[in-house]
Amino acid sequence: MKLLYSFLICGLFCLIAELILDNTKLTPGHITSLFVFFGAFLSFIGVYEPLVNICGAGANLPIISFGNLLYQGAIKYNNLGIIGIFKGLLIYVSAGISATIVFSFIFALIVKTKK
Amino acid sequence: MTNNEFKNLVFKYKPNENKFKYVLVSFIVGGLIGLFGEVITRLFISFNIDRELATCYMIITFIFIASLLTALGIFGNLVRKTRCGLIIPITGFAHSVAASFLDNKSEGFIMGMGSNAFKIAGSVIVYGTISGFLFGVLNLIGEVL
Repeated sequence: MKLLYSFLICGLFCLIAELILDNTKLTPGHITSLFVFFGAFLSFIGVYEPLVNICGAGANLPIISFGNLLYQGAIKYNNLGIIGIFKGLLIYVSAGISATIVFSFIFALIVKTKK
Repeated sequence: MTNNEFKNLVFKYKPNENKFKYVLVSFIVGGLIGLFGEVITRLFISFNIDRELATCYMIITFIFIASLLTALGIFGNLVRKTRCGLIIPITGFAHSVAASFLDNKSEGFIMGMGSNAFKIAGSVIVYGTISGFLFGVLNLIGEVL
């Protein structure tokens, strides 16, 4: 059942983004930033974590999940107060950002660009 | 203007042909990415990795594939055809960073690749961090009250 929910939730987020892209003057950059904010908001009101439990990877892949992970990181060291937010904010997205930089850099070095 | 910014501009001013087609394509492609992600996660779970770590592996797998295909010059065309179906999943993030690296490679390591790496993906990190911080503070205030 998780397979079907994964398909539906990930497809739904892409569909919403496509509708915004088609019907407004926003660029993909605007939409992804908006989605990340929205993800942090959904996580804040406690909607996103249950969604991840129900839908599995389908809810982990869209960029909305980036906002969710940032918020989850922000509340990880809750007992430390405000410094806990700074300490934990990027903790869960670290894997994604690091992997992106490392892989992209290596592949960009290997590939010869067309002039 | 980099290649990617130009592509974004082209997206923006393209006449509205086949609106419904792109919405449908986005839904199906995005859905397939989600489905594929769940399959990969289960594959990793079957190697006795717990779900949280398996998710991490799965996301890194997608980033690997997206940056590889971008470097090979395949992914750009796919994104143009499927639009949000590939932009909204993590593949779009990896694609934008890889494309920035490739577009600015000719300008050298520091001023080209280094400083332009997050030209497009940077806004996601900046506003994600700001909103994460904002809601984190709200959460702290909520706990004090």
